[in-house]
Amino acid sequence: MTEHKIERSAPASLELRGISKVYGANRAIDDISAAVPAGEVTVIVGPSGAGKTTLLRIISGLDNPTTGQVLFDGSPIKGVPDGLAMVFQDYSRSLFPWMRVEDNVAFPLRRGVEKGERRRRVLEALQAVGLEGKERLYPWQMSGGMQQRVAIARALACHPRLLVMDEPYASVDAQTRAELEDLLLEIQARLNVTVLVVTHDIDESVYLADNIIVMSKAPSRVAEVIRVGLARPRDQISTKEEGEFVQVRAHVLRLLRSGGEPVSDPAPTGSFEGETGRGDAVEVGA
Amino acid sequence: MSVLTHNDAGRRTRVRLAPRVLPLFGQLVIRLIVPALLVLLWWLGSQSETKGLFIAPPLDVLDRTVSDFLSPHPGDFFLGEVARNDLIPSLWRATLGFWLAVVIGVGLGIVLGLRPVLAALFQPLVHLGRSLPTPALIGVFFLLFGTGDWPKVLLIAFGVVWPILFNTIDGVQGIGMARAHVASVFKIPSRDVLFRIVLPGAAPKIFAGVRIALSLSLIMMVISELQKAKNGLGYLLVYDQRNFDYPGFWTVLVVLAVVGIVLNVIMIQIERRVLAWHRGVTAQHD
Repeated sequence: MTEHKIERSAPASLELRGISKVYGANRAIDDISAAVPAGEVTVIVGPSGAGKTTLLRIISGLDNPTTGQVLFDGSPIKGVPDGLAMVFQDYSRSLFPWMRVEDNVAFPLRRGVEKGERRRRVLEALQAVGLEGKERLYPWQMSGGMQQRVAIARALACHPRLLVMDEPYASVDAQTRAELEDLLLEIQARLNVTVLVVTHDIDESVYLADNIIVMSKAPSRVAEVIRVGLARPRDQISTKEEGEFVQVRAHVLRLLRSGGEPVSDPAPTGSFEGETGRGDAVEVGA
Repeated sequence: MSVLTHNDAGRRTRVRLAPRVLPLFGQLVIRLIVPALLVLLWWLGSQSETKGLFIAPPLDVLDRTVSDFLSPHPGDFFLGEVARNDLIPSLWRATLGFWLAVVIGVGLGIVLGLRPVLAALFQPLVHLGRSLPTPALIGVFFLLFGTGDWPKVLLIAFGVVWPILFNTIDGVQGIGMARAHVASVFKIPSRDVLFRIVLPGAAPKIFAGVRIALSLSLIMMVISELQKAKNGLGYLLVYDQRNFDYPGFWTVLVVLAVVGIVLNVIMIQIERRVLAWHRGVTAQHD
C-alpha cells in the first residue's frame, strides 16, 4: 500500500434538532432530529419524495430550515460549514467538462491554498481514489465510475471533516457501484472522516452504514434509527450473507413499505432462509 | 462530372464514401467542380448580348480586383488604392461594431442570464430591439450620431448584438442548478464562478451567437455605407453602379465574398480551439 499523506484532522459530528421545512402550503419535512456521530458512516434512506434532497441542502447550509437547527461540531451552522465537502449525484453535471481532471479536483482549492500545496493535494486525492496518472484527461474521456471517482477526489482534496454524498452511485452500473462502495469504506477508514450518505438503495445503505436513519414518507419524520453492527472491513459477498445484514435489510424494506409506520419483523429464525434467498436474488439481479 | 450525373441514391453513396476512397487531390477536384461551373455560368452571362452589358467577364473582374486591391509596394503593405481607401475603412468599422456587440452582448447577456428578475424586466425591450429590422433604423442613427464613422459602427453593433445577447442569456441559464450547487458548497469565489464556470459553460451558445453576428456584421457593414458615406465597399457598390463601372461593381462583390470566407475560416479555427472540450462531450453522446 502506498503512503497517503492526507492530514487527519478530527472528524466532525453533526446534529439535527427539530428540523422542519415548509414550502408554502407544502410541508416537506415535518420534524427531524438525528445525530451523525463523528468518524462513522451514517446513511439516510427514505421513500422517493421524502425530502431527502431538501434535508441534504439544509444540512450542507445551502438552504435554511423553517424551524430547527443543524449543529456542526456542536455549533449552529451559518451557510456551508468549513470542513464539509460534497459528492453530487450526477457527475456529468457536477464536474466541469471544460477542465481537465486535475483542474476539476484543484478548483475548490484555488482560494486559500498555494500552488505547490494544491498540486500535492490533487495528486494525493487522485491517488486515494485510484486515478493516478489520469490528471491530464478530461472527464468526458472517462467512464462514469471514473468520473465519480474524480468527484470523490475533488471532495477529498478539500480535506473534509464531514463528507456528504447525495445518491452518489445512482448513475453508475451495479459492478462499478460495488467498487465505489468499497472505495468509500476504505477511504473512510483510512482518513477517519465522518460520512453522511443519502441513498434510495437499501442494500447499499446497510452495507455502508454504522447508522441508518430511515425517513418516513412526506411530510418526513425519522421513522427509525438503526445501528448496524456488521464487522469492518466489509465484503460485498460475505457481509451480505450475514444474518444481521439480511435482517436489517428486511427491516428497512418493511419500514419503507409501510411509509415509516412502526413495523414488527417476523421471528428471525422463521424467515431467515427465505430472506437470505431473496437477498441473493437481489444481488445477482442488481 | 460523372458524380453529378448519377441518380440520387448512387450519388449519395459516392459522396459518403468520398473521404475514404478519394485521395486528397481527388477531394479538392470534387470541391472545385461547383465553383468552376458557377464561374462558367458567369462567363456565359457576360457573353450574352443584353445582360452582358452589366455582367463583366470573370477574367476582367479578376484583373481589376488585382489592380484595385493589390499593390507591389511594401510601403502600402501590398494593398492597392481601393483596398486602402475603401476595404480597410469598411473592415475597421465592421470590426469595431462587431467587437462592441460582442462585449455588450456577452456582458449584458451574463448579467441578464444570472438575474431572472432583470431578464424579465428587460425582456420586452430586448424583443423590440431584436424584432426591429436594423436597416430601417439607419436614418435614426444618422440623426443621432451625425454622418461620420460612428453612426455606421453603432448601426453595425446594434444590428448584430441580438443573437449574441440571446444566446448568452440562454447559455448562462442552461448551466444549471447542479453547477450552482457545486460552486456554493465549495465556496468558489465569485470571480472564479464568473470566469471559470459561467463563461466557459455558456461558451458553446455564445459562439453560436457570435458566428451569426459575424456574418450579420458584413451585411450591416454594406448597408451602413449605402447612404451618407465617403468610402467603404458599400459606398463603392453604389458609386460604381451609378458610373456604369460594372467591372468595378463585380470586383467589390468578389472582395466581399473573399472577406466573408476568410472571416468564417478564422472563426471556425478559434471555435475549434476554444470549444475542443465541447466537441469531445458531444461526440461522446452521439
